[in-house]
Amino acid sequence: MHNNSNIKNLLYEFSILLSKETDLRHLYFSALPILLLAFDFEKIVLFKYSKRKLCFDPKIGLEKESVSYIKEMWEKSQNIGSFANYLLNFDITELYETDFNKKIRMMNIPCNEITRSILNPFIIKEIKNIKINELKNRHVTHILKQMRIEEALYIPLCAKNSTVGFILASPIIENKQELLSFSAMLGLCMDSLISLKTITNLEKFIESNKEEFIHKQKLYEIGKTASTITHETKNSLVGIIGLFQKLKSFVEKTEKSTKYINIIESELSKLYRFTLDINKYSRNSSATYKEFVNLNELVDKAIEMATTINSDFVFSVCIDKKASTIYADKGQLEQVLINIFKNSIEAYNKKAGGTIKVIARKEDGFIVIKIRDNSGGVKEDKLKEIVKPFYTTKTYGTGLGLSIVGEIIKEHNGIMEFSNINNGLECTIKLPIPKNKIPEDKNE
Amino acid sequence: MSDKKKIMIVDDEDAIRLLYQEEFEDEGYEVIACKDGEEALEKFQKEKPDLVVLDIAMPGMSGLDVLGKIKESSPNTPVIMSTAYSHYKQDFYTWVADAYIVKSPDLSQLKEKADELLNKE
Ligand SMILES: Nc1ncnc2c1ncn2[C@@H]1O[C@H](COP(=O)(O)OP(=O)(O)OP(=O)(O)O)[C@@H](O)[C@H]1O
Ligand SMILES: [Mg+2]
Repeated sequence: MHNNSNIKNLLYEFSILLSKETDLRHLYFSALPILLLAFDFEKIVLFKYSKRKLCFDPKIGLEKESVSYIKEMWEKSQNIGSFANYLLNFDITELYETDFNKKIRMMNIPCNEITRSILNPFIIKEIKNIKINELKNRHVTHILKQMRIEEALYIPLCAKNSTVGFILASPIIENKQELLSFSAMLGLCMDSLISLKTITNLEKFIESNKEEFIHKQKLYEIGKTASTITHETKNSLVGIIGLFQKLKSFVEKTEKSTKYINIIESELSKLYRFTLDINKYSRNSSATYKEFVNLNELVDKAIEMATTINSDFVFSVCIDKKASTIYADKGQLEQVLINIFKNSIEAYNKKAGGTIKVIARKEDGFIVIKIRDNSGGVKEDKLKEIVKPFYTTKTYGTGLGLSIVGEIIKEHNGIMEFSNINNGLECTIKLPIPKNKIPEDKNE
Repeated sequence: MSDKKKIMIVDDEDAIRLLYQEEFEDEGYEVIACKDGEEALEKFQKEKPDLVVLDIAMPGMSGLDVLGKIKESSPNTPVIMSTAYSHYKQDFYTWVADAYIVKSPDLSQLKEKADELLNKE
């Protein structure tokens, strides 16, 4: 069936599919099988470019064997457009669960300056052949090794004159002209779905910000009232306790009076200790639901949301494979990251050059996440203050951002610390790895 | 009169005023207790105390306002600021004061400070 009319027919189905696809992730799994079938590839892998991280993330890997049932569908389909419709609605789980796909998606390529400088020259806007023994690039070599191939076809995906991703396919074919129509369309479609996702995230962010704002306002009022109450209470208690000590010497010592005095004393000192703890305030938290979540995806999502405030910030993400799964409440951890990112962005007072580094690794019993910025840090004697409720240096802030973060980390039995680093602030979060629970091999 | 030193206590809380008054009297001082800023300023001129213990958070004239007025008319009279919580410590007004203490039923810190300031001269 590998002939020109087959390609043309598949191109037709491809264009129908792309015009109807609304979900980016589904698109990867519906579009790539068509490419694989049209050009009879053995293996095909797609990387998406992340503008935020200036990096490429592996999104899908397919092998010929795993799409054989799709091929059958194609051979059986009679009407024009029916194959496209089938792919548009098919369940991607089976393709997702293949070993090859999992291996490709787990292939963590750290996003840092080094990778960028190596990968960027590699990204060109034309289809070309690459061979493992001619490559100087360690990362690309690594990818080909993971794919277990010696050479591959490099197919760029572009839109608006910039790269949205690339495909590596094997074996190399001669018919590159026709491939171009597929890749051009796929690039455009990916780009528009990425924009759509950004807008949806933005909307969600605005919505969640609104909620958080109301929540904070309430807390602020409660906190203010609470601190007035404790202030007044402490003031009264100082006098009462002092005078009570004096009173004691006038009281005739009987069994009963001693008992009463002891009770009154211990109650008074309990009250007094309570007023010393002015920072004890409760977050009217929604219930926590902890599960195993993929840290890469969590970080990506938070970056996406935080960069809606300032898209000039550059993020570097380096999450060790062993640290890619954490046990946490997804929504709450996302809020933690967003609040921290937001602070870094707000603290940066130059036009360009703001960077945030996210590093995660496993350390005896803990996942350690470090978030570093270059926004100047805080005064050494203020390091302890910034996590306290109502501490703010901003005219527009409530000073609750980090205290909410702290509460969440506490609820996760974790530890959070801040320290000044060269020209910036570093936040270290340690989350315990639960001993008795085994994470399912789950990526999404 | 005697050579007893005079301490002025300014606090809106009756119990605290009474407590401070008795404790300082036991130590051999003469005590003038005032329940607010206005009363304090009025008596200050008449009594010319050797030391003032001033609460910061009071209704009406705040302790910081009173501090300013006292230091204006008699810069050499030592003033101890006293408050329930330590967050006023950063306020630059309190730099003008000679000492700053956080209130506690245990008066030893306050007494120590008072002794120290009174025996300087
Ligand atoms: N990355 C950072 N660099 C420099 N200063 C910071 C950073 N993060 C926090 N701070 C300081 O800590 C303070 C408290 O932060 P927090 O997030 O609790 O409140 P906020 O940001 O002021 O208010 P909100 O979070 O409600 O907008 C900030 O006002 C700022 O002065
Ligand atoms: Mg904040």
